[in-house]
Amino acid sequence: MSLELNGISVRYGAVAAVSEVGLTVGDGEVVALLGPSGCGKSTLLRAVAGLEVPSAGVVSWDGVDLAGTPVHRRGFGLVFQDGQLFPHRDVAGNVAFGLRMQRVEREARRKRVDELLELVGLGGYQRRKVTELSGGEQQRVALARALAPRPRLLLLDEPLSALDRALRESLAVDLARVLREAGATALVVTHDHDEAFTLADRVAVMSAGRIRQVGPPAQVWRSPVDVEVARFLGCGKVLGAEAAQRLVGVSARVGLRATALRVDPDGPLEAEVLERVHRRDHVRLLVRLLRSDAGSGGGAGVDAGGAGVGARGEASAGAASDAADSAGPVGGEVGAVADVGRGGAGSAGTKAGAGGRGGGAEAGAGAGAGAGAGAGGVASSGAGAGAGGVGAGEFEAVAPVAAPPGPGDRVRLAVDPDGVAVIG
Amino acid sequence: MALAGPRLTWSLAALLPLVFLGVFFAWPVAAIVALGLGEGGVWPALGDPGTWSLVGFTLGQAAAATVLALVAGLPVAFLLARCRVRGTGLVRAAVMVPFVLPTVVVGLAFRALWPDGGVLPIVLANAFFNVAVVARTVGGLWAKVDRRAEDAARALGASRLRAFTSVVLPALGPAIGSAASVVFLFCATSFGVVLVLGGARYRTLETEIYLRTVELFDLSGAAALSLLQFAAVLAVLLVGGAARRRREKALPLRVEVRRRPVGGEWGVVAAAWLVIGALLVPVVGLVVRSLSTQDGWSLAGYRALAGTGDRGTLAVTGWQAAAQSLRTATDATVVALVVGVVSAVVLVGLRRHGSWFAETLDTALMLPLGVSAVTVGFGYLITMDALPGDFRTSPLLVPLAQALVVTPLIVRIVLPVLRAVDERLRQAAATLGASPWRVWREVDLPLASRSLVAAAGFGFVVALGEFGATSFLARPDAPTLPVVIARLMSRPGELNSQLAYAACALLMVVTTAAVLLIERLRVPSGGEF
Repeated sequence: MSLELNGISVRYGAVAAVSEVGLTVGDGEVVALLGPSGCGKSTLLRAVAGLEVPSAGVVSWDGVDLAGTPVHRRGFGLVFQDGQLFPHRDVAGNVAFGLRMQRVEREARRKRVDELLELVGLGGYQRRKVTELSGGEQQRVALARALAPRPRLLLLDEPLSALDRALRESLAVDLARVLREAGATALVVTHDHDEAFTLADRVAVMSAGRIRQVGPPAQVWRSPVDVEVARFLGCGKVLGAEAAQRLVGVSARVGLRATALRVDPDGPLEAEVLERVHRRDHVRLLVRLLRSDAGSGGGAGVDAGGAGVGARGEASAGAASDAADSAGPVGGEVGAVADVGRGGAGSAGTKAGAGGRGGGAEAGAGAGAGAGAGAGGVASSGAGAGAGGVGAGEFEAVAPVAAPPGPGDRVRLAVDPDGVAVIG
Repeated sequence: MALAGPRLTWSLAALLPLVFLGVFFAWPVAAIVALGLGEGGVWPALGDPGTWSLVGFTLGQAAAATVLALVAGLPVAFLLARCRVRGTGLVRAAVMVPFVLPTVVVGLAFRALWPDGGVLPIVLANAFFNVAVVARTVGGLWAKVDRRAEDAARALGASRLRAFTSVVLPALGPAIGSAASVVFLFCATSFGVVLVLGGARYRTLETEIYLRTVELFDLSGAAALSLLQFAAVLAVLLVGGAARRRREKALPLRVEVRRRPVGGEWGVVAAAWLVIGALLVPVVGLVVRSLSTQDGWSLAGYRALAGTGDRGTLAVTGWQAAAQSLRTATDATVVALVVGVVSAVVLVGLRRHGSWFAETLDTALMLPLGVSAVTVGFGYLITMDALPGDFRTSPLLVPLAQALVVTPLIVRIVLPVLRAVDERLRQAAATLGASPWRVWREVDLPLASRSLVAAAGFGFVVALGEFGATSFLARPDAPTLPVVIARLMSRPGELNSQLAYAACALLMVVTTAAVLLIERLRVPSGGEF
């Protein structure tokens, strides 16, 4: 009872949408395919469903190659982003569709439909027209429809992406519950890591048609396999081993999420606030580190001062070239800062790259002006990671919504280990 | 192999329309062409200045009628697409009635107004037919053109007229081009109207082909003219096809809400109502003429339907002809529905796989619309005896010829509806266990059912009025109503013409009833006609 993908490639003419993907989904397991738009994850899902023909590789179920099995004989349920309910049938008619294809008796059909509508929280909706349902209700019906014939495998293609945020978050929790209760084996495609981590037992991070990392959500979250995956998982700042040792006490390359640094009066780090933007449940800051009480280097590395200026020349140039790429938000307007705040991949998971570069632009400008940015070590490691989400010497940090510091204020920061990801 | 499977299936399914077109269209037409070339009559015919004055008249009257139909159709399109005023439903149906009226009926209706015929009634009658095409095609797009572009132009200081000419008109361009090419085609190959109103004096290529074949037995000359017409038709179809493709690629459209006209727009609405009024004049005139005799009002014509005309002009009674019409049109509709729906399904399926073949089939299916029905009918006479059991005497001969004319219309009505079905809806059904055939039955068929019924009704009405090919092929002992009407008009006698007008009124009632039925079934976005 398991799906096995072996060396799957899908090509559109000269373009390789999916390259040599291998993945297994075990019985009752929910695996999320996580990646940015256009990384090939939906194409891979369609190849599993039988809607795309792989140019190479084998899709097999329990060791049986499915190449000769057409879509309708695979017994894989599919939920689209926008429901795709049959407009000419009512809710019950939609849910019962797969059962009718299986020639299930009318009475048994009715019972199963009732059962599933109950499961997705739409009891009593049987005779409603699907065109009169809200987007969230439509997705619930689509889910019930896909589950009704008891598919061997459930495929979900961005099942929540068409919904607005509040609904998306509550429905993600519901969906996770439904999948567990139904004992479904499922493959979920999503670009939203919150969604992936809510739903999945294992997460497969995809990029440019390849799977970069597979593992349990916590493991992927804590130790992304490389810088690119780290950036996609929200690490706006990457530090080399040396700088990481000084700043967070970890002797390895690390990625910092915005939540890695929190405003804390007793914190060991001192910083100057450059920009501030209000988010839903916290305040996001862009800060420049001034000095550190912590770290094995006894503060030498993070001390403010002119000593690092020469060494930082290169770093500034690197960051400045980033600035040329994005050429936008230097003025420190709120919009620009919001982009910085969203960092490498942000919770909404959109426009990640552009946001990160925005930060680089501003940092480059600052450092180029020789405004006494933080320790040389930190600066050069930031630049060394290439295309920094946040520029040299500058970091993202979070503050509580109540009485947040503003630009120009000096604050003390503490490191939150949950915001630090060890790369590799 | 998974790719080869569907491709193979689609190719097999494509065989049906291809064989149908091949046997009942390409072969007869090719036979005519070969006949013309073989007897060497083509070059003399092409060198004859008389031929070129025929071509000139054909194109000239078609161009005039097209312009007239555009001028009359645009206000109606505006009214249907943009205005929320009382009676729009009535307008929608009223503009459609002329389009489905049998050509002979329209010819006679205009002869009731202009007893001597002439160029003016020919142009008017051809335009009369085609106002509906313009109103429908242009109105269909107009209803979806984003009004905000116009609003933006107005906000930037353009007058209402300027906004129309610089923003709306260019957006409507593809639809206007497509409508114009179709109308031009219909007018250039119009047969019944020209025959009835032009007589021997005003002849187009179409009627000349008929006259040379039937009266002069100049087959090579007729074949030469057929070739000439075919070339012209092909050119117009290619232009129209390009316009259609541009329209299908058009940028995001949205369904605009209709609203009450303001200011100068009332003038346009008034013009539209005027057009509708003008369209009703021949219709009413025909009914009046069918009821009036030299001795005042009378139902004599209708009573005569039970007989065979003045001193046995006809081989059958009027009612027998009417029954024959219904039988023939029913058979034709069934054949055309099968071929048309299979074609539409194949076109949708092939387009999914992306194929030049689909484009070619699409255009090929439209060809019968433009090729002279007379040519086709004539072609049947010289080819069908080669089919087993001498097909020339088969009762299916006339229905098949009519089906050839009806099929393109059915394709054009059903195809857009099927294309609008989201491919992922079919995929959803497939993942739920529906085989490709079941997907079609469960998804495509229900979603297209209303347009299918509309297409069937529409096809039936067109088959009922088909005259060009039928006049060639109908056996003397089994004529249809249009054939009977034409025969009655060509013979003297008050009773004959009275009977002809009554038969016309009868056909008109049947077609109008069918149109009203179709209107009730029509889906808002369905079809081009």
